[in-house]
Amino acid sequence: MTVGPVIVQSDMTLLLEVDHPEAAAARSAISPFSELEKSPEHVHTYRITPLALWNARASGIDAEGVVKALLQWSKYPVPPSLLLGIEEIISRYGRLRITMDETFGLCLVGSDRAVFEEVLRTKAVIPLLGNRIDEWTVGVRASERGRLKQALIKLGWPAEDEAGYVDGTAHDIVLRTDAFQLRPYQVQAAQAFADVGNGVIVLPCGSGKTLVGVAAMAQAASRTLILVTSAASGHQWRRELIERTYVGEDEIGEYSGQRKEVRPITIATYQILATKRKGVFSHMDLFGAEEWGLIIYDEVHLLPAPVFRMTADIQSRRRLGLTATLIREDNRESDVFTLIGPKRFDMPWREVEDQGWIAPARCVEIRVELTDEERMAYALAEPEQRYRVGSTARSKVAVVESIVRQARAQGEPILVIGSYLDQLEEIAKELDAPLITGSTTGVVRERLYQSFRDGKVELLVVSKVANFSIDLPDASVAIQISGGFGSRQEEAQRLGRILRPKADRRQAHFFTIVSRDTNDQEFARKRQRFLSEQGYAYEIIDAVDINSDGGLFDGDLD
Amino acid sequence: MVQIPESAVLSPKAVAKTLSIWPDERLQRLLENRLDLHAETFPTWETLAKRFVLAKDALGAIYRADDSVRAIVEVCRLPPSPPTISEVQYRVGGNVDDGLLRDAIERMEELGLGLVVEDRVYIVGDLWRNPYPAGLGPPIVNLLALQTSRELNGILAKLKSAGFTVKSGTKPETISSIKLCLSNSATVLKIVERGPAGTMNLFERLLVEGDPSVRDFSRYFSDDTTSAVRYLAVHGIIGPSGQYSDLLVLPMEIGLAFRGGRPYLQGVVEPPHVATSPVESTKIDSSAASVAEQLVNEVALLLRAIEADRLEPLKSGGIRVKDLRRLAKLIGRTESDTSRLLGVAWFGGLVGRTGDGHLFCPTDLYDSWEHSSASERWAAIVGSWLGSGPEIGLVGVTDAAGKAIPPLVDLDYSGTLELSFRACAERLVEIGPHRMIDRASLDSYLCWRIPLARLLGGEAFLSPSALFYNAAELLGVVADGALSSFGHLALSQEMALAIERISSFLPKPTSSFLLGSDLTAVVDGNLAADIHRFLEQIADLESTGIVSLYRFSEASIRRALDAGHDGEEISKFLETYGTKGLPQTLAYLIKDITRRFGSIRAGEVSSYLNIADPALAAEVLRNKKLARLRLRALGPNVVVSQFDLSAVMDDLRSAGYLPVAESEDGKNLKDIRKKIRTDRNPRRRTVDIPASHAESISEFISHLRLDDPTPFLSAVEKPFSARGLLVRGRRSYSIFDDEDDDDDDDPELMEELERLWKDLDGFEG
Repeated sequence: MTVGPVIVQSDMTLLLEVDHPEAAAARSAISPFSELEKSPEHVHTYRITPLALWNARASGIDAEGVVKALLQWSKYPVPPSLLLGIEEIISRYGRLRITMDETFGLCLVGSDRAVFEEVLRTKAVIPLLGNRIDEWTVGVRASERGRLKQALIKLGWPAEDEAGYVDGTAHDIVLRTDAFQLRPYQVQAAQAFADVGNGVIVLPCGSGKTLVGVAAMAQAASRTLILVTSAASGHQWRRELIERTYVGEDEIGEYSGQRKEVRPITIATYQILATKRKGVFSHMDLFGAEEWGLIIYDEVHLLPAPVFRMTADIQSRRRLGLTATLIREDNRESDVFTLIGPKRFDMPWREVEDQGWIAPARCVEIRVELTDEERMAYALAEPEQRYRVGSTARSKVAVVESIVRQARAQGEPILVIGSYLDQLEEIAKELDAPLITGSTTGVVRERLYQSFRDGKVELLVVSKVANFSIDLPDASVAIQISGGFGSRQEEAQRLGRILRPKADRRQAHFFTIVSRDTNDQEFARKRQRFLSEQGYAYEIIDAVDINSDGGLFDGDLD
Repeated sequence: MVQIPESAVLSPKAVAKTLSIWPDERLQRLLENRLDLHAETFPTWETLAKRFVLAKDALGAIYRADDSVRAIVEVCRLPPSPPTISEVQYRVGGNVDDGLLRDAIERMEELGLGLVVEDRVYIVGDLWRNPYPAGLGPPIVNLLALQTSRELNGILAKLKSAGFTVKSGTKPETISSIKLCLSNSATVLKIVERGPAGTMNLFERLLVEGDPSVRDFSRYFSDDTTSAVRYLAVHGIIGPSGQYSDLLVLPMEIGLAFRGGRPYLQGVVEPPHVATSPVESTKIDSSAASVAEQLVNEVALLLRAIEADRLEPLKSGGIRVKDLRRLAKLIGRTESDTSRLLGVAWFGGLVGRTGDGHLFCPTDLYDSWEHSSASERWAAIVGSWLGSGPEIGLVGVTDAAGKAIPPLVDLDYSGTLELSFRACAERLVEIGPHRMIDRASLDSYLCWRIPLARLLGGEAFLSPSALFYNAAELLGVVADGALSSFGHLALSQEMALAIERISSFLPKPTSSFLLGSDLTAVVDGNLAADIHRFLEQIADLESTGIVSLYRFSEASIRRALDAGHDGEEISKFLETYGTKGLPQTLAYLIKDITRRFGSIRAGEVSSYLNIADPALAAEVLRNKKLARLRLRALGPNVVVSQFDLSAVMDDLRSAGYLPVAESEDGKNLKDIRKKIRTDRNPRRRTVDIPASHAESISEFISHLRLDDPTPFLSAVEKPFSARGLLVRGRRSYSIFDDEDDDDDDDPELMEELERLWKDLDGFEG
C-alpha cells in the first residue's frame, strides 16, 4: 500500500496533505498537469482538467508521465478508470497541428483522418479555413489563428500550435542585475513563459508580478506593448522599468486618455483600447502600430471583451498574462487559456508568505450590530437596495474610527477601502483623511499615493480605483468598509494592497467590517471564499468586543 | 410437427430400467434440473419414466443446455435414429474426445433430454419440435409447403427450363417432385453455378456460417435478375420461413448434403477456451476493495438523499431525469453510473415505494444495513445481486430502441439473460481469482454454454458477459478484468469468508476529520456510522470519493439545531472528532447561528385563551378544576391548551367562567417530517437455493429405491417450469422476448408435412 501525500479522487481532484513530509515533492510532480483550486491550511485541492492535461502535454509531459506521478504519490490505489480517462484526454492533443508552411502559409494539419474530417465539417470551423491543400492539410486564414484554436478547444480537439511567433522589432532590454536579483520563483515563472512564448503567470498580490513581466521582456528583447488597468498602474510599470532595467525614459511611451505616445515600450490602458468612437474601436490600431515582439496583459482577469477579440487576431505575437486571481466573474477563464495561453506558473499565497516574499497577513471580519433605526431601515428597504443599506450602515463608522485609532497608535499606515462614494466621503470627513475616487485627477492621485509612500500621509480613504496595481509598499492595515457584492477577486486584490513585505517583517492586518444579520454578511462570506481557500483564516469578532483603548493589534481580545 | 421415427421412440420401460441403475447422485442432478419429474404422489420407476419420456418441460430444459448437448440432440434427430454413440461422435464433428463426448451425453441425460439405451442415444419426444441449432434450416418440405401453388409452379418451371426432371400435380405432389430434384447435391450445385454474380458466395455463406437464412423481402418479389437471393428463391433452393416472412432459409437437406451428411463440420463438444493471464493479486484486491468502499458510500449517500428529498416516481415507474441529474451531481458520477447505483439500492431491497406508491423511500432493511460495517454492507449488496441476477447489470444499458433502461423499476427480461449471468458467474468461480480474463473468449464460451446468448449480440446492445461485468465492476467483485479474492468467495457463496477477506482491504472506520477555517471538514476514509450521521446533519457534503469534503454553512448548522441539537453539543462534537481543533471561524459560525436560532418561536396548540385582565389569566392558570386542560401561559394575557376548543370551553364553563369562542385566524405549524419506511420491496432475494428441494429430492429417490407404496409428499408445491423460473416478479419493463412462438401452425398443413416427412429417410446424404 502506498502512503504518498496525494489522494486521487475519481472526480479528478487531487487532495494534497500539506503536513505530509513529502508534500513539496508531490506538489512539484502534480502541479504541471493540474490546477490548484484551493489551498486552505491542511489539504490543498488540485483539479485535473482537460485544459491542464493538454497544457502538460504541450510542455512535453505525456500520459505515461502523468500516470506515473499519480501512482507514485497517491496515498490510495488510483481508480483505473481515471487513469484510462487521462490517457484518453491527453491523446486528443496533437492530432491536429497549426503549422507555418513556406508555400501555403498558416495550415491546419491532421494526423488522424477521422478527427481531421470531422473537424473540417464543423460549422464553427469552416469559415476559419482556407483551401484544402492535400489529404492531411488545409489552409488557415492568417487572421483566424486564435479563433480556430478557440473553436478546436470547444470541439475537444486542441491544436498544437507550431506556427511560432514573429520576433517583432528587436529592442534590447537589459536587467540591472547588479542592483537587484530576481527571486527564485520569479525566475521560474519567467522561464516557464519564455519556454513557450504565451501563457499566464499567477502570483499573489505584492509578490512582484511586474518583475516577472520585466524579466520576460528582457528575454524577448523586442518591442513590447504593456496593457494595464489604469494610468496609475502604468506609471508604476514605468517606474519599475526604469529602476530595474537600463531602459531610458524616452523609450517608454504612455498610451492613455491623457497621452498617445507609441514608443519601443508602450504602456496602454485597457480603458483607452476599449473606447469606441463612432462605433469603432479606434485605438485598437495600437496592436498593429509596431512590430511588437511581446504583449503583456497586466491583471489579465480584467481583460475587457473587445481586447479579447483583438487578441484573437494577434496570435503570432508572444503574449504574457499576469494576475493574482485567475477568477473571471464572467467565467471566461477558457478564453484566457485559449487566447493568452494556459497557466504557466502559479504558487499558493501561503507558500510565498512562508518564504517571506509577501507579508504575513491577519484577516479579521468585524461584525457590527446595527442600531434599531438601521435595522428598521434595512428591513423596509427594497430588495435591490438592501445590500447598499446594510453595507453602508452608519454603525460601521465608529468601528473604523476605533481601528484607525489603534492602528495609528501602532504607527501603521492605513488604507480605508470601500465601494460607495457617499460612505467614503463621510468616513474621510470623520477621519479627516484624504479621499481618492474615480473622479480624483491623475495628478492628485499620484501626489497622494506618493505622499503615502513617503510617509507624509498615514491614512488614505480609497474607492475601488485602488483595487489593482497600486503599489503602496508600506500600507500595513486595510479596512474594508464595503465591497462589490460577492466579488472574490476584489477581496483578494484589496488584501493584496498590504502584502508587500515590510522591512521589519511585521504582520499586515486586513479588517473587513460587516453589518450583522444583513446580506452584507452573506456577501462577505462569498467574497472571502477565495482567500479562505488560499489559507487565509478569517477571524470573526464582534464589534462590541473591540476595546476602544487598544488590543486589536496584540491579540488580547476577549 | 415432425413425426418421430418409430425406432427412435423411447420406451418408458427402457427408461425405467436405465434410470433405476443410475447412482443416486445422477438421479439427484436429474431431478434438480427437472423438478417437474418428481411432482408425483406415488413415485415409482414407471411413473418417473413416463414423465421422462412425455414431459413437455424438456423444451424448457434445452434452453439450459450448452452447445454440445444441443448438438447431440440435433444429430439424434437425423436418420437413422437413434444413432449409436459412434455415429453421434461422427455427426458432431468426427474427431471428438471420447471423454468430452461422454460428459456431454451425461449432461444431456441429466437434463432429462434423452437417454443412452443399449449404446444408442435417444432423445425425448418433445425435442423433435426443437429449432435447428446446428445452422441447418427446416426440412425442405416444410419450406415448400409455406409457398403458394403459383410460387411452387414457378419453381417447377425454372427447374424444368434448366433441364431437370420435375412433375407437376397436386400441391403435395409438386412439393415432393421439387424435393426429389433438389435432394441431389450435384443438381443444386449446377443451379448455383449458373446463377448471377454473387450466388455462389451467398450459397456458401448459408452453408457454413451457422445461420442458414438471408433477409430479403423486396428482391424476392422484384424482377431483378441480377439478385442472387431472388435467383436461389425462384429455384427453390431457399424458401421463406413463413408465409409473410422476409427471411429466406436454406433447407436442412441441402445443408446436410453439402456437409457430408453431418450437421457439424467442426467439433462442438469441446467448450471454447477462456483465455486468462495472471495478475498481481494485491493490486486487484486493493483496487476492487476501493471500488467496493466507494460503492457502499455512494449507495448510502443516495439513500439519504432519497430519504431527505422525497423522491417521487413517474407514473410509468422510474424517476424523473432532473431527479437523476441531481442525484448524479450529488455523488459526482455520470447519470448512467447513478442509475446503476440506484439499481443496486432497488434490487438490493434498500429502497422501495411507500404503501400508496407515491414516494420512493428507504426500506426497513436500510436501517440495519446503514448501521453495519462497510464490508457487511458490501456483502449484503453483493448477496442481493447474486440473488436477483442480471437486473443490476441491465440498468442504464441502452436497449434495442436506443433508450436507456431506467432505474427504480422492475424489469422483465428473458431467461437467456439469467442463464448467461449464472453461467458467467460459474465460469468465473471455476477460473478463480486474480486472473485477467479475456472477455471475447469468455463471450465465446458463454455462447457455447448458453447458445441463445448469441441473440444478445444480435440485439446489438449486450455481449453475454456484459450483464455480469456491468454490475461486477461496479460492485468491486471484478477489478481490472480479474475476479477479486473476496468476489470469488462471494460467488462461491462463502459470504462470511468474503466479508472477512474484504475487511482486510477496507480501511478501518475512522473517527476523526480535519476541520478547515474555510468552513470545511475533510474526511479521509469511512467515518464510524454514528459520527458520520451527526456530521451529515451539521454539514453538507460537497464532494465525495476516497476522501469526502463537507461544508458548514448557516443552513447546515440551522438544520442540526432544527433536529434538536444545540450549539454547545455541535461544538463539542467538532472539538472531539476534529483533529487539529475547531477553527475560530467555524466556532463563530455555530455561536452566531445559535444566537439567532429561536428568536422566533413557533408551536402547535389546539386552542388559546386571550384574557384581557392579567389577574384573571393568573387565576385561570391556578384553577384546579382546569388542571386537566394543562394550560400554559405564553404571555400575561395569552394562555394555551392542547385540548380542542370545545373541551376547553366546556371545562371553563364548568368552572364558572363565561368564555366566548373566537374564530380561528391562522396558525403556524411546524413541519415535522416523519420517518417513512416501507416493507414493500419484493425484489430482494437471497442467493441460497431453498434446502427443501435437495431434501425432498433425496427423499423422493429413497422412495423410488424402496419401491415404497406410501404416498410421497413433495415439498415442491407446483411443477417446476424453466420459463416460469426465469420470468419473475412484476413485469413493467420489457427487454425482449425469449424466442419465437411457433404454436400457430395450420393443422391441415401440419398433417401434410407429417406425411411428407416420412420421405426424409430416402434423402441422399
